[in-house]
Amino acid sequence: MNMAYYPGCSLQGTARDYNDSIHEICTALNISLFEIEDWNCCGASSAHMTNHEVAMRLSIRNLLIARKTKLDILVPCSACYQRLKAADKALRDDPEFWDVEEYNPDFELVHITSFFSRPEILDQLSQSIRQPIGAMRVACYYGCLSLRPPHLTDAPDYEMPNSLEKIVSTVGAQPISWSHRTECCSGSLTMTRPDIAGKLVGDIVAAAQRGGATAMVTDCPMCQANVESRQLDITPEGPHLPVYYATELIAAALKGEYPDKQKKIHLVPACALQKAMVQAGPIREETP
Amino acid sequence: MTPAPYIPHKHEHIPTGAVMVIGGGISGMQSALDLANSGFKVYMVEKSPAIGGKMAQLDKTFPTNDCSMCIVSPKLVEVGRHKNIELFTHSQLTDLQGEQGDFTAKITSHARYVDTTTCTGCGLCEHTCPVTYKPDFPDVSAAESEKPGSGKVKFSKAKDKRVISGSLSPSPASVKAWTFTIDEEKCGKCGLCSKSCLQEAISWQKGTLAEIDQKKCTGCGACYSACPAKFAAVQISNAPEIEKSLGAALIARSQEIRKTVGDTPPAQCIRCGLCALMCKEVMGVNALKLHEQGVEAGVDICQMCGACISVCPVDFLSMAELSNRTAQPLLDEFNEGLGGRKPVNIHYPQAVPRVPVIDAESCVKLNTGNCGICQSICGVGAIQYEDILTEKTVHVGSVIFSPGFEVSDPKLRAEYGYGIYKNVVTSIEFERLLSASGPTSGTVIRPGDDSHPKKIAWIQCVGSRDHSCNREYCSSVCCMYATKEAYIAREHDKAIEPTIFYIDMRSFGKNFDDYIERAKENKVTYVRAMVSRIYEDPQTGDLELRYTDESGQKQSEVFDMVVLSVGIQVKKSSQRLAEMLQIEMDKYGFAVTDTFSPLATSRPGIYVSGAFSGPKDIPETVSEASGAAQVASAAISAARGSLITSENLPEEKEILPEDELRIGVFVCHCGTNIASVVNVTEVMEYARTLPGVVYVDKPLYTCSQDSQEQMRSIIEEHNLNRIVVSACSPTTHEPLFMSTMRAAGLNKYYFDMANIRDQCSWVHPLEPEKATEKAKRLTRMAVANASQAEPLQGMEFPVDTRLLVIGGGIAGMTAALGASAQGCNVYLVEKEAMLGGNLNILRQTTDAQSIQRYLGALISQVEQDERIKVYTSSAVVEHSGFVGSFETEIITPSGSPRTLKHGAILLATGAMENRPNIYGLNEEKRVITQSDFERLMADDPEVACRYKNIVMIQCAGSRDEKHQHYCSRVCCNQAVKNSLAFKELRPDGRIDILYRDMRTYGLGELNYRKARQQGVNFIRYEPDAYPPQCTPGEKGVEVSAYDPSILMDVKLTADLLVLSTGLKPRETDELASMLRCTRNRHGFFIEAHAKLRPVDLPSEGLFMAGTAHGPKSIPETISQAQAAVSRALTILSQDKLTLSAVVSRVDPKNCAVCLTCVRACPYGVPVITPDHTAEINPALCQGCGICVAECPAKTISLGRYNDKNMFAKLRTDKLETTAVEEEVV
Repeated sequence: MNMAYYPGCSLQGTARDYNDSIHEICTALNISLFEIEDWNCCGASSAHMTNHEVAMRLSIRNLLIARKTKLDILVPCSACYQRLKAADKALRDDPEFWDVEEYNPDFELVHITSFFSRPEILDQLSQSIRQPIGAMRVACYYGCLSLRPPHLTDAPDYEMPNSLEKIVSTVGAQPISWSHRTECCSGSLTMTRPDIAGKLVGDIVAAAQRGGATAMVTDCPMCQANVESRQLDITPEGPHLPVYYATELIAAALKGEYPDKQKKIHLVPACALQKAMVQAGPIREETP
Repeated sequence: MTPAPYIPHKHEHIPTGAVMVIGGGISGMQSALDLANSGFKVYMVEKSPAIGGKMAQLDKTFPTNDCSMCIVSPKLVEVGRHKNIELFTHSQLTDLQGEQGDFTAKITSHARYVDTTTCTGCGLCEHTCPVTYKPDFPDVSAAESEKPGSGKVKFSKAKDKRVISGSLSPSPASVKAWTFTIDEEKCGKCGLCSKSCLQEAISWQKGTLAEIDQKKCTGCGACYSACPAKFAAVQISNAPEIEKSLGAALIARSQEIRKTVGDTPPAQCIRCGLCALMCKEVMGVNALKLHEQGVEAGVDICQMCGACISVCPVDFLSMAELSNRTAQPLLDEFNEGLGGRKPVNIHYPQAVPRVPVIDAESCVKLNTGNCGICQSICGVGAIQYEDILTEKTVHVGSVIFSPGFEVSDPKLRAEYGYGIYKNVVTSIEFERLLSASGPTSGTVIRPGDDSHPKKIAWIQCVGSRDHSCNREYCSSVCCMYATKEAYIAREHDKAIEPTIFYIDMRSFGKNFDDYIERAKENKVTYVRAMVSRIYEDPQTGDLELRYTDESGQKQSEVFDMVVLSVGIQVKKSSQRLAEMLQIEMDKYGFAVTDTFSPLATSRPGIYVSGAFSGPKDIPETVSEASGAAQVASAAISAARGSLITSENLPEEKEILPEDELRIGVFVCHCGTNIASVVNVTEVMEYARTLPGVVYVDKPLYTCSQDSQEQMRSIIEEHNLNRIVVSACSPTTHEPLFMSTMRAAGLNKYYFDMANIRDQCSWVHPLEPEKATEKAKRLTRMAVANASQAEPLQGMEFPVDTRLLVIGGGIAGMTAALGASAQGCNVYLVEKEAMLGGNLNILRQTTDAQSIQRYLGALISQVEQDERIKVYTSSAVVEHSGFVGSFETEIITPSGSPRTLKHGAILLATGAMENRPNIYGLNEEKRVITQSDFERLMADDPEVACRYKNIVMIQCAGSRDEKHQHYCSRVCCNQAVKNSLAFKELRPDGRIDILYRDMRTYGLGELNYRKARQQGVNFIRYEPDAYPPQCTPGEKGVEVSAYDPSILMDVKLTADLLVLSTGLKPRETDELASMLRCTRNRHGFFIEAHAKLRPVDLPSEGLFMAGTAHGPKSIPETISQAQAAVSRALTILSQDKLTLSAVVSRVDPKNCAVCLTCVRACPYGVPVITPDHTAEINPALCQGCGICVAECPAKTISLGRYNDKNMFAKLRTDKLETTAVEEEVV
C-alpha cells in the first residue's frame, strides 16, 4: 500500500520518536510512505490565531503539492490533520476564492488512528505481532483536535470514539473505561496560561488514575508532550502516568520489545510498557 | 391555495363499510372502537405480537398521575373482544390498491408458531423454556445433514475444554433422584456407561452386561448420555413429566431441587447432572460433562443458549465460563432491554391477545430441530413449529394510518455517554423502571449496580430542538413526562432528589402549569441549563454533570443516575410503509397534512392520527383518533352497518330468590400491584370459607382477556349465580366484569367488587399482614353484598339521530358539517349574528394560508347544507331530557322560543382574545394585541409598514395569578407567525420578543428557528424578579427589562407594543348550569377523563370541541370537532339505547308528598304527579342516591344500594362469628 505522508513540525522536533515508530510500523506492514515534497507548516499554533488567511494558505500550499501524488495523505498530528481538513474543505467548496482554478482531488486526508484502526490493518497487525503487550491497563486519550469540530474532521464518533481502544486491544493491552478521553489538554495554553494547563492536565491524569490506568496512550504530539510534562509541575513527587503514542505500543508488539532508548525519551518514568511485555511472556519465535 | 373544507367523496355505488386501522396503539384502538361502535367493520393491523403500543409501556400519565396500564387495559380488552374488530397482530399491511371507498388490502401475518385460537395464555411455555441467550447456532447446512430431531445425532467434539470447579458431594440426598436401570436386552456390553460413572456405581466386565448399583447411583445420568445411540439401553424411571419429554422432566426435577435448596443456593455443583443431560440430550450439543472437580465445559462447541444455566438448580454455572465467545442475553423489548426474555414469550402480562410468539432467530427447535420442550408441555397443543407466514386480502373503504412513534436515538448526543455509562438511561427505560410490571417491579434502581439512586438528573431535549442531529422540532411531551417521572420517582422513594435540566419549560397543555407547580412543591428541582457533558466515575459509576447556571457560572454536580429525555421520531419502518401507501411526508418523516384538514393525508381515503403527523401527547392523540374515525367513516357513511355482526347475548338465566347461592370469588394479583403486599392465596382461601361461595380463583390479571374468557366458562361450568371480584377500582373495571357475566347469561347486577388495590395494597404497602386482613374483610363485605343482589333491568328506548351544536365558530361548523356528512340532521345555534366566532378576528395560519378565505367557504357550505339548520343570534334557554332523547329550547332573534329535539349535544362555545388592562393596553394607541397586529398587517399593510421597531411581550396577563392563571398555548406560535409576517412586509424592521418560555411546541419549533434566523430577537424575562416596564414616550413606548441570559438590563423603544394576551373562555355560566356541566376555575369545560375521553363531557350524550375545552390552535380545534362528532355518532348511529338500571324508584304507597326529594335532587329530576306522589324519571336519574337517603318515609329505593345490601355488608359478623370474636379480643 502506498500513502502520502505529512509529518508536520512536531514529528521533526519534540515528537521525533513518534515519526520513527510510524515508519517502523509501516515498514513492517508493507506500507510505503511518500513524504510530501517540500511541505511547510500546517498553519496551526500561532498562525491560525493571528491571521486566518495566512493559516489557510499555508495548508493550501501543502494540499496543492500533495494532490500531485494522487495518494491518500496520512497525517499523524491532530492539529495538522484539522488544519489540512479545514483547508481541503474550503478549497473544495470554493477554489476560486483561494485563487485555485480547480480543486477536486479524489484523495482523502487520513488521520493516523482512523488509519490503523481500519479492520484490514487491525487484522494485519494481529497477525504480525511478535509479542502482545500483556496486562497493561491503559487510558486511551484522544484530546480534541482530531475529532472536533466534526464538520471539519468528519470523525464519526466525535464524542465517544473507540478507535484507539481497538488498536491497543489488538496489540494486547487493556483499555480502561474512563471519563476524560476527549477533554482538552490545554496544549495551546501550556506556555501562556500554565495555571489553566495545570488544572486541565491534573483533571485528566486524575481521571485516568481513578479508572485504574498505569499508562496513557494518545495519538497527538501536543497532548503527549503537554500531559507528560505538566504532571511534573502539578505533582513533582508523582506518581506520574507515562503517555505513550499508540504507535509505540504497536511498534513494541511488532518488535517484541520496548527498547530502553525509547523509554528514556519520556519525561516521566515510562517502564510500564516494558514491564507489561516482560510479564506477558516469551517472544513468539516466528511471525506467521 | 386554500383548500375547500372537507367534502366527502360522492360515490356512484355503495362503498365498502369497513375501515383498516394500521397500528394498535392508543390511537388505533380509539379509532377502531369509535368506528366499530358506530356501524363499521374494522381490520386492525399491528406489527408487534400484541396491541397497546407505547402507552402500555408507560407507568403513569401526566397531569393526573393515572396509572397508564390501568386506564388503557379496559380499552385493550374491549378491542380484543369486540365483534366488529378483527385483529391482525404480528402482521403488516403489504399492499394497498384501489381508491377511497374501495380499497383492497393485503395483510401479511408473520409465523407466530403459537395458535391464537387454542392458546389459553397460561404462559407455561415461556416459564419452562430454558433458553435465555441468543444461541450461536452452527451452519444451517451442517445442522441439516445431521437429521434434526432424530434424537441422538452425531455430536461435534470439543477441542477447547475448561473445568469449572467447585464441587460438593452429590446432593441433596433428600430429593428423590430418578432411577436409572439398564435394559439387559438392549445392552451392547460395551462398558461405556461404567467408564462414564464417577460414582463407580456400574459394574461391568468385558463381554458382560453392565449393572447399576442403585445404592451408589446418584442419578446424574452420565450413563444415559454415555450409552451409544444404537443401544439406548439405559432407561429412566421415577421421573415426573418424562412422559412429556426429557426436557420437561429435567425442568421439573430442577424446580424440585430448587425448592429444597431454598433462596440461597450454594453456588457449588451438587452433581445433579441436569446441565449435562440438558446440553446433550435436549439441546443436542454435548458441551458439558460432569468432572471430578465440577463440570467440564467444551467452550468452543457451546451454543450459548443458556439452557444449562436455567436448569442448574444451584446457580453454579455462568455464561462467561461456559463459552469462549461473548454471549448476548435475550432482551425484552417491551421492557426496553432492561430485562431478559425467552425465545417463546408473551409480549407483556396484560397483552391482547395474550398469546406468546416464538422468535425464530433464537428458538433452538426452529433452528436445529432439537429441544421442543414447549410443545411437549403445552396442555392444549397450541405450539406449532410448522407455522408459516399467511396472507389475507380484505376490502375496506378507508384507511387510518396511526403507526405511532419511536424514541430518538440517545446516542445522537454521545457526550452523555448513553450505552457506555451504565447509569445513564432513557426516559422510556425509566418508565419501565417505575412500572409495577416492569423489570424491577417498580423499584427505582440504577442499572449499573442495582443500588438505590438518590440524586437523579433529567436532561431535556435529547434528540429534540437540536439542529446538530437533524431534529429541529420539539417533541412536545418531554417536559411533562420528565416532570411526571421525577414526581413519581419521589412517590416510589422519598429519598430521591430529582433535578430537571431544561431549555424552556413547555407545559402548554390544560392544567400542565399547575402540575409543574405541584412538582416543585414536591421537591423536584428545575435548572434552566443545557448540560454540556457527563463524566462517569469509573469506580462508583456516579455521574458528574457540567453546565452553566443562570448566573453564568460554570457548575459541576454529581448525580447517581441520569435520565435522557429522548424525543419522538417516526420509525423507519413506518416511513417505508407510508411510501408504499403513497403518503406525502416531511423531511423528518411526519405526514404532511393541511391546517384545515389536519387528519387527511395526501392520498384520498387514507387518514392519519397520532404522533405520525407530529409529536403529541395522549389526549391529543385520542382526540385525533376519534376525529380520524369520523372523517374516515364520513366518506363511506352510506355503507354504515353493512358489514357488522351484532352481538348475540344469551338469554338471561332466571334466578329465583329461593335458589341456592353459588358465589364465585376472583381474587386478583394485579401483577404485583396487589400480590406484593396482600397475600392473595390467603385471601382466596379465606373467601372459600364464606357462606355461599362455591368457587374461588386467583388470576394474575383478572381483567386480561384470557382471564375473562375463563371467567365466562367457569360461570357456566360451575353454574355460578353471583360473582365477586377482589381487585381494583369498580370505576374502571366493573363494566368489564359485568359484561363478561352478561355474556355468560347472568344478570350483570349479581355482582360486587372489593377494591383491594387502590384502597388496600397501594395505601398499606408497609403492613402486608394487616393489609391481607383488610383485603379479607373487604372481600367478605363484597360477598355479603353479592348474596343480597337482585337482578335489575335497564330501560330501552329509541335514539333521536339529530345533533345539537352550540356555538358557530370553526369547531361548531366543522362538527355540523361532519355530522351532516354522516347522515345526521344538525341544529347549529350561534349566539352572535354571524357565524365564525374567534376566526373572524384572525387572518393567517402559521403556514401562511388565508383564514378569511377558508372561513368564507366554510360558512357558505354550512349555510347551504340541507341537513344543517342554523340559528344565529339565538341562545339556549332551557334544556331537558337525557342521552338519545334531549329537548332544548332556544330563543330566536324574533323573540319566539323554539324547542329542538335531538339525541346528543356538542358544545363548541369557544374562547376569545383576552384584553386585560396591562402594559397600557386599552389606553395607549401604540399598545395592541397580537390579533390586532395580525389584522393590521393583513388588512392595512401600508400602515403596518410605517412601524419599524416592534416589541412583543408574551404572557401579558397569562400565567399570572392577577389575570389568567394558565398558559394560552397559542400565543408563542402566534407571535412567531406575526413576526415572520412582519419581516416579510418590512425586512429592515426590528422585532424584539420578551418571553418567559418559548412554547413553540411540536413542529412550531421550526418557525421559531426561522424567526431567529431572520433576526427576530428573543429576550427572556422573569416576571417575578424583573417584570418588563412600559412607559409611553415621545418616540414610542419605552420598554425596559432584564435579560437573564446576558445578565444585563435591556432598554427598547417600541413604535408598536404588541401584547400576547391569551385566550379566555366565552361567558357560559348559565349554559353550564343548564347542561349541568362542570368547568374548571378558569371557566373551561372539564372533560370526562383528561387522558382518554378528552372530548366527552361527564354527562352522557354531551360532547365538546374547540377552545371551550381549553386554548388550542386551528388544526387542533378542527380535529377535536371531528372527534366530538365521532363520539356523538357512537350514540346517534344506534337505533336504541339502554339506560342504567341503577336508578331511584318511588314506592307511591308511603309517599307523603313532602317534597324532600324534589329539593334534595341536584339534578332536579323528581316531580309530583297528578296522582299525588313523587315520581322519578329513570332516564334522567343519575343514581346518586341522595333522595334515597333523605326520604323521611324511606319509600325511595335504589337498586344495588338497598338497605339490605348495606346491612349485609356491615353485619358480615353474622356470617362468621369466630372471626369477629377474635377481632374483639
